[in-house]
Amino acid sequence: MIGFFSCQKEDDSFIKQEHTSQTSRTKYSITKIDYQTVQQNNRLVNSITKIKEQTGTKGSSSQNRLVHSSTYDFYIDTDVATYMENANGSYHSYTFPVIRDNPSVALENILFSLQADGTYKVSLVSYNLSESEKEALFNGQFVDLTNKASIETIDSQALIDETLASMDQGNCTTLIITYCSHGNHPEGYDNGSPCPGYEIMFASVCSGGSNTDPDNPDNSDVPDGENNPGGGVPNDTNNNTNDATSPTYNIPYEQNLIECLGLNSVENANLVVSNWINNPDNFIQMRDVSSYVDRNNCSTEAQSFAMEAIEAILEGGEVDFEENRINGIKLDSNLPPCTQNMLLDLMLGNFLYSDTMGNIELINSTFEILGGSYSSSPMGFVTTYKVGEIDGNGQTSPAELDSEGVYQVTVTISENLVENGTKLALIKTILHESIHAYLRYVAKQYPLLFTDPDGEFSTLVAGWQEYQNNNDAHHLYMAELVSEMALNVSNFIQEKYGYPASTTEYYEAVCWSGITHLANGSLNPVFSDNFPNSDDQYHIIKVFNTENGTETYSGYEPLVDNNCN
Amino acid sequence: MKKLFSFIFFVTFFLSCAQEYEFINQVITPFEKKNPIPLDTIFLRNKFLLPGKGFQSIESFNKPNLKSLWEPIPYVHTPPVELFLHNFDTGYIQSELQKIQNDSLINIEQLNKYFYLCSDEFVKNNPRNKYISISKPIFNRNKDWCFIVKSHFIPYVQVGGGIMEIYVKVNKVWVLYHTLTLWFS
Repeated sequence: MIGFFSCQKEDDSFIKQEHTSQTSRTKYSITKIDYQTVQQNNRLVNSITKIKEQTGTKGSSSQNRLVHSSTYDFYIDTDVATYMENANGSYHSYTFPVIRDNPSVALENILFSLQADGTYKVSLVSYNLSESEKEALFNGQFVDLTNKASIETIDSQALIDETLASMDQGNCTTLIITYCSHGNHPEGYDNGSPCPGYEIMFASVCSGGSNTDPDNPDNSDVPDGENNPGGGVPNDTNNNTNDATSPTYNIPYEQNLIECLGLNSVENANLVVSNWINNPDNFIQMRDVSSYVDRNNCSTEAQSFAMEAIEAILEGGEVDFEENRINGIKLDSNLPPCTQNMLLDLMLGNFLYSDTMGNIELINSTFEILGGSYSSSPMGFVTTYKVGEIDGNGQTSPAELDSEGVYQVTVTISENLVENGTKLALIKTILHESIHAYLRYVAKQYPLLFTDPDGEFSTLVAGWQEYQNNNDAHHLYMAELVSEMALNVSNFIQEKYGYPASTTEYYEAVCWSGITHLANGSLNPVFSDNFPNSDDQYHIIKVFNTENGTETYSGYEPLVDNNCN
Repeated sequence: MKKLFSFIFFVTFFLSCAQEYEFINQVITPFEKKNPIPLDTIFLRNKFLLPGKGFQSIESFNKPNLKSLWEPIPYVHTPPVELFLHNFDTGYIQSELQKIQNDSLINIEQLNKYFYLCSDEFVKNNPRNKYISISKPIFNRNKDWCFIVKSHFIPYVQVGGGIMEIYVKVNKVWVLYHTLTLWFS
């Protein structure tokens, strides 16, 4: 372990360096923590809120993990933090990276250091490093930080009113910087495990004078905290107030994102997306995407969501990573990964796929309307997809007006279907329910289209007039779309899931599921017109029941025996 | 005095329950409009639907939302929503919905003979029937308007849906005023 000690005024530092291999010299436990852990500390969150004059991010994202202070003109990145705590738990600190549009130093941190009264003293810690030093630091290598770090207290009110005032009366403040390297430099852990690094101490010399002895690391350099049980942190005569920190830096967002999305491989190269990631103007949004995939361990579904999100952002859309919403489509957290992925694949349409994919215009137009509806139209319309215990394969709620004037539609996919149905049955159901949602959208956005008995939705209008039931009207409309639905589902599932070509009739039979009958139990007239023979009708029912996993019949097997649970 | 109050309470409670079942017996019949074949049995799921649970919250029964739901498809003969809202205070609807949340038992003795209460097991073993589920009827204060939430499901072909039927009492007879679609299937 290497130790640095300094006794300085804030801008007049004297640093003493000492090398040692004894890890026990580090009196603080150091933990890298995430956003959720930070949020559990109400006092800390309140302190961050004090700094936050205005919240907001650049671009369309509405994430709140990046706290903006217009007063100080910087962002605090709360996605990553270093938590330090002394041995008896009486003191701790949080250190966050600071992001500026035009940084003047290589690395800036904001330090929240617990004070005796339970509040946090807030300071800006700057590290003036060369590019190579910065890179070395980020790579966990040893960097001599002597004379390269400085501290400035910025907690304006609290500091002016309390801390600075007390310092003027002769108290001392010591900043302890502990650097925790992930590498194993020569001074690292003897046993080869990650090195806790070395310490730097900045001891500000104040009117009362103080001397922190680095070779005698008792608890006197630890501030008295509210949780101090009374031992370990003496109320020394100088009333020392020390602050512990560790250089904390953002994860390499660009690099992480590119690697996660596989954009550095030839087969996945995507110049548009790569350029967007590397454009500094997009840093805040790019950071949101990168943090999202990082939080989700770069899972397949996180990758799909990120790609769809970037595409939406490129087209001026809106993404909310907290809500899991891309424009007007929100993916509920209860969706199993495979089902979420399937939805994202449907939303992505041809994107990422080869030109060999056949016509999926119905899928594209349905999801473009639903996916683009939140920001591209004056009418807010959000469709949430979830799974649940329901009758039937899927259910779509009506468009419910929320308190913000946004229409909310919920599509619920049956848990039974996810459990027992094939991927083909699931895709068919998602499309079926999405068409219900699409028709709700059109009814709200363009209500006059539904009044024209000779217009695009004439079947729908006639169905309503005939049956006075909107379910029946929708299913009559959908019955006339079955061929198109089948063509789209067939092309999509062959390209994406390697399904066999099979016959058009087979895919059509699957898409009749949920449409064959009306609410009163009679046959859908479009179905009976197309298939007047009852044997043909039963054959179709057997095909979709087999794919849905609701019945088994002799001589009937799913096209591919798979599922999505 | 205490006995008198108890008597009044039980009479009121009995009349209220009687009114609910009287309404169900009158409006849910084997002779469905547009159904050419009268049913000899109505297969009724053995628990009341609980509107306000799931994606459709009790709060969603508010004026803007009911207006928004009103036009399943804009159609010239759609009756005015204003008349319904004038007669049916939405705050009252919400409080009535709240009251029924823990009361899902259906008393078969109060229903007409053509109702057959079906357990989940029965539904599973007889997937070709059409099953319906109903909520308790919700009356307005004057008891001259009422709505009921109804769903249907045919397991064999996975067809279903949910509606809200609004009735108005005309000359002591419940007449369907309008139907709102609550969910598609």
